[in-house]
Amino acid sequence: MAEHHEERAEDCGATCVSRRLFMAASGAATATLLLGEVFPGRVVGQDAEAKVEVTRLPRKLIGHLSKMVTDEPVAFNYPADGYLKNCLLVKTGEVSGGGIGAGQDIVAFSARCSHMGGDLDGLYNAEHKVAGPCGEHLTTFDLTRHGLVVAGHATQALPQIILEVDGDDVFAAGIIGLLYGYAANS
Amino acid sequence: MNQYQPKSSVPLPPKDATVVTTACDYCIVGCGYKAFVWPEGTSGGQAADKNALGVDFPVAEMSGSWVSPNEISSCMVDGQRHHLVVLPDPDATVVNVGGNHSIRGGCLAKKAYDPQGRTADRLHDPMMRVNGELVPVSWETAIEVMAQLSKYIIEKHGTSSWGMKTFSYQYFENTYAISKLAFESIQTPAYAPHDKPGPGNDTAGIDDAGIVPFSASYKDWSEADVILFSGTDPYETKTVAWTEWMMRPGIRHIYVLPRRTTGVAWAEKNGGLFLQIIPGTDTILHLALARLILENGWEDSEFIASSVANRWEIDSGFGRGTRNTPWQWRTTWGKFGASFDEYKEWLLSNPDAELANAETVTGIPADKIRQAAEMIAKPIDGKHPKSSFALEKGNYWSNNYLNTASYSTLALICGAGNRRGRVVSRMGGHQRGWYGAAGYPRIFSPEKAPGRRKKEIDLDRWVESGNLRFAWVIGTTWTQAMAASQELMTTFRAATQGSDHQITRTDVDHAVDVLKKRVDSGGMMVVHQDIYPRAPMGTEFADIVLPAATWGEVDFTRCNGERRLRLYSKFCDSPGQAKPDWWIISQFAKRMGFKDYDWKDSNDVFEQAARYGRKGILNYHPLVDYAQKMGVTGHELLRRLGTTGIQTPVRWRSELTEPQEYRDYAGHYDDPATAGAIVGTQRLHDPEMDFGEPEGPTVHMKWMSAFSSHTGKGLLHKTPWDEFSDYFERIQPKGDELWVTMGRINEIWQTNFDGERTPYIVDRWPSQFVEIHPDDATSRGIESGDLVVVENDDVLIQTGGFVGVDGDDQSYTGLERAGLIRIGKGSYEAVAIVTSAIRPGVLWSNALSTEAPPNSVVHRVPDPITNRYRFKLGKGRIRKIGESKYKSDLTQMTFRPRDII
Repeated sequence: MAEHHEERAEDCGATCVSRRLFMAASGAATATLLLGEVFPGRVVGQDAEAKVEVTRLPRKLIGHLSKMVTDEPVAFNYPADGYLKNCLLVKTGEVSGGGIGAGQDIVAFSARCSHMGGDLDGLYNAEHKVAGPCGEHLTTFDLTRHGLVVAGHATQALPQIILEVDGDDVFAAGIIGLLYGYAANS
Repeated sequence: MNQYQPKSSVPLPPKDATVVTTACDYCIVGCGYKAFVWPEGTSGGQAADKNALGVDFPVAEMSGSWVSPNEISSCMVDGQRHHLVVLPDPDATVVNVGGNHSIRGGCLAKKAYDPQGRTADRLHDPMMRVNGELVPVSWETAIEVMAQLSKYIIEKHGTSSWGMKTFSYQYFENTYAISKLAFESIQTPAYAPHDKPGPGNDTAGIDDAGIVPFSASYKDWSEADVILFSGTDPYETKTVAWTEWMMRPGIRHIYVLPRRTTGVAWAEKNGGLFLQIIPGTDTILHLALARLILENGWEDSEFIASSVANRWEIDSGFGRGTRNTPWQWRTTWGKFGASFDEYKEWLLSNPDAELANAETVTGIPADKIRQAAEMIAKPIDGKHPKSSFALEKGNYWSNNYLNTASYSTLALICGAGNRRGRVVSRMGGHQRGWYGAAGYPRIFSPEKAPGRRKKEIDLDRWVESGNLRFAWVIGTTWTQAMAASQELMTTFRAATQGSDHQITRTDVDHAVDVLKKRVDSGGMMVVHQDIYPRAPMGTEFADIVLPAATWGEVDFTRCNGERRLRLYSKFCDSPGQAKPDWWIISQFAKRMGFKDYDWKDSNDVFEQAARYGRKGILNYHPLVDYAQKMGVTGHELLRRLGTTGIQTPVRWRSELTEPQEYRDYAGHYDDPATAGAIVGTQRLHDPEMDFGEPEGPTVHMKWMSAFSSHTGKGLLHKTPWDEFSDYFERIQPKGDELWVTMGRINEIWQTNFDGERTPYIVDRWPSQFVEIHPDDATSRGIESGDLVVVENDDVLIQTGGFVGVDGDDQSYTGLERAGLIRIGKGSYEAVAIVTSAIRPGVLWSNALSTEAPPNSVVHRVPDPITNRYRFKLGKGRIRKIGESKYKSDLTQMTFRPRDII
């Protein structure tokens, strides 16, 4: 697994805790962290104590807080352009696990179904805040609950992209979960 | 807080990993899987030539070769910890073509025994309850106590006081051993499968019509124009049968359910229909549909003339016999069996079948009933639509006989039952793993209907009546799976823990002495044989607990829902002293002095069993015969057939004439050095199939090319509503009561015995739940995520009444009149999900939660015609008792609707 060092020099405050933790993790490409560390101030109650394995990846600018419109997803590729790496950034309008922004409602996920890789691009359901149903076998994922399967066949939640904020800039900074099709995220 | 820690990479099996084929351990569909096993500390590479999958990573969309983190775990091989990948077979050409899978099968790897993992609590040793605690004992001690007690009980209290309650599906080798012991050696009538109070038909009205409930292949459904689904959405737990073979443009689905599921939503979007029915009223719907069809002349007259029995044919072949087997008395009793003309006359003069009545009783708008009738029967350009009929527990576990008989009759008049795209079958629950060594000794059953109409036992009532002194429970929790669960637990507790006679030392003589005193004073000895400690049967009630080996630990065989036989290969160690169930049975049987249990391995049992299934739909005897001619074992030949396997009944032919497509689907094997070849059978009752002459070990049964009735023709049945209406009237929810109904949910298999040890599944469903309509929730102040309790203080329980003498003795009215109904109580807690998917007035829960079984609020009064429970017709009051943590925390459970399309 490759290591990346694209951290920006400027201090981005408390929202960059996860980045600092990555750096503290003695260079390892992946680290097991508490959800409360990955999403500081952005998880609910005891969820903060949940452990997750996080892939350390380059920060990538993917959007701007001021331009996010509720229920209008923005497509981006992460960690880089490439096959099966399309993702979606969305402002759900509801408090969402790991969400950024004033309403803690901006989240991002892989847009590849973690069942068999069906493309979820354009399949965001605004009424229920789910991705899907996947066109292949109808799996749906709850984007307010860390990509949990609502109904369907995926054997892991939809991989969640860790977001960081720097002023108005929204960065992708890591992945929780394994991207469909890959043996490793990086 | 979540239990599953998402992974960001997976080890891949190296080139030299051991690879075996198997099939999923779970639902009826039985998808093909491959297990890859290799020592810890090594890993394959991402290039195709560096891993055992032979593919480059990343793999493509829909490749089937992606290894998700939950498809990996660890297992023990010869005492050493190994990596394990269990992957849906990417090379599968049948069932789960190309590696399609469900979430359940996709997590199969997590089932493997790992002493350092979540399955570390597997049962390791035989145990005896001493001073209230289970302590390890030797196999010899456990078997000795069981055998001495069994001999004593059978001698003193009679054969029928010795009983078994076992899975009916967990592999041929095991069920053959169970049935050999129970029915051949001991000959007890006190036996019940895991899912019903006694042996016999699940769907008697389908069988009585002459239709084998698993006659269709999955391919047959894919060739239908219309499928009428009754009491099932196969998307939920027959997943791949649905996503692979039914979810196809051009097939219109009609669903009869109280709850709008994913499959229903898909159907409505794709030209189908949703008939949201009031629980328990299916018979009225079927009658109304049949009546609309006959009134409009849409019936398939040609098929009826050629393939449906007339009055002479119904009565033929019986002579003056007593007609005391269930199907005989039901079919020839004028109340049910009917020719087409008799049926038509009865139906058209029956006010219950009128559309307006059906709308009132079923709650389904008349125009939707009319649309459904048109869709399944109205000819288009002079041709009848190819309509198929799929049913499952929502149908036959709410009103067993009338629902199934009226459904098969509806199907037959539409011309369905035996032709391509026009089939009638159950969708199924568990796989078909029963291989009977001998028939159930119905003659010894304590039960009969008025006249000489013998019935199989209701074992729960037998227990409640104090007649059972020895209960050997294998692979089921029993109490939570049966109706009025809490009341049944109370009975078990009193007969075991509640007895004054408890074992205080592990020595055999002491244990036998104490247990003899217990059973002589009205108590019961309980043995629980399973893979995990299961509450309360194993953890509280059992005097002896026996550890079983399971999937992946022994070579086993079984069929899926289209009779597809596969080898479920061994690839890892079983824990501690755990043994396959057939081995445990054989030790006991030999200690009892019974003959012919000297099996040296699993294949031995498989080959012996073959001789006893030659006339059955699961006949694989020609495969064993062919294997012996090849000089290999039956298991070995089946191993070579991989995940395709072979569809039973297996046939040997000197030369195959079946088209290649047929052979490839049904499975075949042609050894160049052995005479002839074996081939499977795709569809039963098929009049167009040329099976040739029966050759060698091949048996041609009538039902292969005709219906399974005595005449080979389909049998129609009248289904008078008054056989059910008195009971239905009594159980109507009153005041603020609601119907409580239940079913399976896609993400959970069975009682979640493996899923509760799979953190990923626990995160999705950490708790029992109950779906409630917003109208019902608002008035009770209930929101999604609230903790609620569902209570029923009016649980009807039949007591006694084993022998019916006069007319309506066993009707609900008759039972009440005779004082044979007592009122019990039941309740369960759940997390509320408020959703408009469920019909107002109805609650819906996971049927098989063992911690909070909704069966607790279900009445224990079986259908008097078939002794089957009406599981789906519970009732209760629901109230909020607090808020669950899932209401606000965001890493477990979700309350989003499941019917989003």
